Amino acid sequence: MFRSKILYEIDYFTLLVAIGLVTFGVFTIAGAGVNEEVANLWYKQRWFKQIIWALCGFALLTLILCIDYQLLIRFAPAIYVIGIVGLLLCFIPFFVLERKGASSWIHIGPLPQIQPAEFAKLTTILMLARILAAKKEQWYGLIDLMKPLLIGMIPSLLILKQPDLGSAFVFIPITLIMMFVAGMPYAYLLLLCSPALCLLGISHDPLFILIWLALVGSILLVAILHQVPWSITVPFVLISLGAYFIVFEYGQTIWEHAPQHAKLRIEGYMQPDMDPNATNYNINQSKIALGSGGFWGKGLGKGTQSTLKFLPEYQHDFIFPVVGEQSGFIGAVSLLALFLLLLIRGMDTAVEAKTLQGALVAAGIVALFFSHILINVGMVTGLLPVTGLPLTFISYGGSFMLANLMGVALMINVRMRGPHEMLKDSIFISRSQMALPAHIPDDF
Amino acid sequence: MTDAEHTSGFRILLLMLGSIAIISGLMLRLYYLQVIKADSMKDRSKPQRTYYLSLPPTRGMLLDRNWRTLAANAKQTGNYIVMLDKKRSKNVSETVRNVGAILNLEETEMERHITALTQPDVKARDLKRNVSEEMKTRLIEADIPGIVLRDQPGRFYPEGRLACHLIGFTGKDNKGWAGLEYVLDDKLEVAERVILAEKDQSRRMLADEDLTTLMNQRVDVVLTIDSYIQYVVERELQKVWEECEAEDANAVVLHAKTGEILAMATVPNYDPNTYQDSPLEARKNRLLAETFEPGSILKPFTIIAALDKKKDVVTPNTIFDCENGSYYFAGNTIRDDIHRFGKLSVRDILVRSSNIGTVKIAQTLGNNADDYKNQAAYLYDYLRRFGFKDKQSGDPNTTELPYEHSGILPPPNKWHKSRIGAVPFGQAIATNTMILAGAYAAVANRGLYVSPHAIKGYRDVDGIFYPREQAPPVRIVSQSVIEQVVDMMVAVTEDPEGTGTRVRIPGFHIAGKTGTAQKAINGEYVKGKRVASFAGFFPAENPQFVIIVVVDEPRKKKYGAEVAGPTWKTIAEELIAYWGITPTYPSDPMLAAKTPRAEGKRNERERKTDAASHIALQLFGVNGAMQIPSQWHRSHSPDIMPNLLGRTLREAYVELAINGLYAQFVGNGKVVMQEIAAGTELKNRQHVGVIHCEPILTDSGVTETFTLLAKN
Repeated sequence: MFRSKILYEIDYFTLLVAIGLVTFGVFTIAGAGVNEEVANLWYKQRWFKQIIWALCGFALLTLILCIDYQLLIRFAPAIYVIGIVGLLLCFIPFFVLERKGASSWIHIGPLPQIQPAEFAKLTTILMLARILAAKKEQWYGLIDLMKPLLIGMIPSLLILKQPDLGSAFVFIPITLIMMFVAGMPYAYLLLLCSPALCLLGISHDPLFILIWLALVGSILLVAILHQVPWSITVPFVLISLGAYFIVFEYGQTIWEHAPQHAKLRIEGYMQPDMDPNATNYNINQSKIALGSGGFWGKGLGKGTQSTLKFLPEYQHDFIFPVVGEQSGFIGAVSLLALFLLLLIRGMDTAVEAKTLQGALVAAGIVALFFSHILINVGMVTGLLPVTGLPLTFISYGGSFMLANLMGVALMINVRMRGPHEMLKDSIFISRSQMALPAHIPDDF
Repeated sequence: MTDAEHTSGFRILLLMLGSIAIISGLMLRLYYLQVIKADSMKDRSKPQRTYYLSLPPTRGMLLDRNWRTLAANAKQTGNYIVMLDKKRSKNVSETVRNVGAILNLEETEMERHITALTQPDVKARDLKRNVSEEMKTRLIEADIPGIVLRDQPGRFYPEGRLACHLIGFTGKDNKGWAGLEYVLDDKLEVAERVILAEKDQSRRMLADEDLTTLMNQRVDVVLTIDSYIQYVVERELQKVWEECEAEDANAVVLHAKTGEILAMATVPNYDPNTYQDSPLEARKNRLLAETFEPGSILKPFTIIAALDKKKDVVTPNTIFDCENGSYYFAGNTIRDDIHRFGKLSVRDILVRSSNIGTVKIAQTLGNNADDYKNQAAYLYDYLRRFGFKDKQSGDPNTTELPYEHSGILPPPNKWHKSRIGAVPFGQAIATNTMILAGAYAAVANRGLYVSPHAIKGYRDVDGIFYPREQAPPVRIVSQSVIEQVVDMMVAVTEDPEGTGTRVRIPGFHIAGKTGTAQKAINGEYVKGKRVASFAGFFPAENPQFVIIVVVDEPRKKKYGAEVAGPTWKTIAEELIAYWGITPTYPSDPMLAAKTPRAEGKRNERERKTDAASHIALQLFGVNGAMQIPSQWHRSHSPDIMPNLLGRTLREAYVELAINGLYAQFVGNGKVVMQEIAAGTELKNRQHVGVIHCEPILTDSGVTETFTLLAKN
């Protein structure tokens, strides 16, 4: 299991990018927290705690690197079940630690508080990788399609119940992207998306209805042309139509019965400049923080929006505006560029993975990171509705930091156990790989 | 081969392109927010983290010359201001109406408030002042959002009646209504300032040192008044006022060299803390607002005019015929009241206070006795030089105080001939005590006129003192003439025939003049109504103080010397003890016995008020313990070595100390040698070397020694 050449094979590129991101996060948290009440006790400050978490994370990362990911895949069902059990613990009042109206944290004995959802995302990715790799392009029946969807949906629904809408939603892109990478036909993908696409056409405007009809028609046409089994086509078309008519007929009623905070958020999102219910406070503060940072930023610890606590949750979900305020457009774009490097490296890892399982694990991690980044940054820049989702590597949080670094560990794990013959095809060639002696056998 | 080959690289490439596109989209959005919209976002950021904070007005304090507080700030008990904070109020007009219902505001007033509050830039507004405790309770019970109750600032006068007319008082609105409070309103009151403060999300104001400074920003006004002297003057005036059952009495003590008003008082007086309870008459500053015909105390100026203008005709020894007490002039008979005089010298005319003689002297001002036009012109000219004013001609006030009636002295072209028979001895001219004090100070200064003033300077919050620029002295008459007149005025108190012998203080030469003026009511002189006064300065050789005591309509006693004289003397004695004035000629044994009494009185005063911080040194000598205020003005330019020769050790020490200098004293007694010659530029030197003193032998054969005891 343990391989002596592990140090040679580690994907230092990914590791360095991860270290860079973590450092970025620590500095941002330190800058945002200069006005904290505990500011005079350095060891009580969040940046320090974050460093401790990151060090734990890197230790965990090293540990995971020692274990072949294929072994992990082999035990994926057990790991998956552990993840589900962790989520179920969130429903047991003895363990749960309610915070901000959500029972997302548990505490077991002397251990620090844990957010099982963050780890459940990783366990689900492992499980999905196992299931999807087993498919081997045999996408024929409804059951085949439903199996991965179900695996993704179970933790998602458990998390939704906490409630943590953001984290629950993340499972959708993860599942879909992993299915996509696993080779699911495009027509299937289209069908999977059809209920959502159908809802786009909801309007009393005849023109919209016409467009919608054309859309549904073309989805059907694609399905038929690609010889999608009727067992799949028919249920999805029915689901789409049903969803459409339910929303069309009872949309108003549903809207009226929707949770108040959700309604306000959507209203706020629809009218970003008007702020009818003062619900856009968060997002306005976030935009102000970003905008007032300007091109070069105000400097570390000098962001007025964050240090004066106008920004809500400035160390968690709204950490990105702090970046934008402190280090300006330059800093924010650099951060996004770092993210992009990590993502592309992850996708490259997927390409050069030795097994489909490995490719799927890498793709799943990329999907996880990417959804977090897109949803978080999209939210704080006012492009997407407000859903609480932390920013990978940057937001403060122990479980989140550990989970992120474990994700990185999986990515590196896949890469260091990939076929070196394919190096020439990879987009990036890291120094560690170049230095790898050719004569050392792949496995011994 | 591995499964990896089967996973479509193309699909991952698609994903890759998609993620690049999406992240680029996010970057574009950031570019839009952070670069294109940056300025508008910055504009939005500022107003929410800054807000306009209104600091309640604070008033500068009024301090005496030793920085003892005469007027301080306090909050008014049971008085509140009701303010509406727009931010916290949901519906402004509703809030105003709710409050209006409780406070019984009128409809029009409420409308006015609502109109004002609907202006976008108005953040808050005071709805009502002077809200009582009861109303406050009702407002709190009503619990109307947006209503802020705050204490109403007020004024406290720790010394009570002390210098009440000078200080004045503030009204319920905390604005000056009388006295210096009124005159200095702009200077004292730091208006309700609105500053831009930074706050955090929970509206907590951020700790800001500048803000604390701003909160305390005020300018205190340091007056020239000395609390103790003021106290003595008021005490003595009260005594004489009660004793003589006078209409009113007032007095001014000037520091002769600088024109600083050390004390100015009028009785009856009032307590500015409870000014509402005192009668309007008591609140009137009669010292300035009411004029009187000065009478004989004006005679020195007539004589100065003649001595200066007609040097070859009039000398102190020139003899004038005093017509045996009755002189018919310009349709009136001028009389000499007490005694009838035959031929008198100019000196005796002043010493014995002959009206007829003074008129005769004034007549010499013209080309001949009938040339009353020139007589009037010259007399007028000299009186003007000494600061006498005419209100009708629009002359400015002497001091910074309000409501001053500057007097009546019509221009000479309006003079009827009969005025020549009245003005020289102080009738048919009206003035106030302050103007007279200024005129006497000019005599004391040997012809240099200094304007009396009550403001010494300003003190900021850090305790830094900024002296007020004072007008330089103006020479108005030649020194030699004044010396002659001072001699005559000394004779008033020292000549056995003099009218002012009652004020003699052993050890000091006092130059003074008594006055007993007839009082005119509706243009007619009323018999028995008089203004008794005594004006003078001492020590005559090097005058320090000018004291004028005026008693209006004394009913028990009659003449200036017997009414105002004793008061004048007591004040002078207290001044000598308090200020530490050295006797100028060998004192008689009485002196030593007298001064401890004054010390006892000072201690009585000290007990009454809090300990002042002005004790710089304590001196022991013939006059007993004396204190020198550390804030004592610099009588001498600090950059030039003063002449100490011939002065007593104590005098020399004080002279140096008040100029911020110190020296090594050798021996005791009088200074016989100083290391640095007088007049030498010191150039930031503080130590002026060795000063040698030698004991002096007094008439009584006792070696007088002066011992120094420096005390922190």
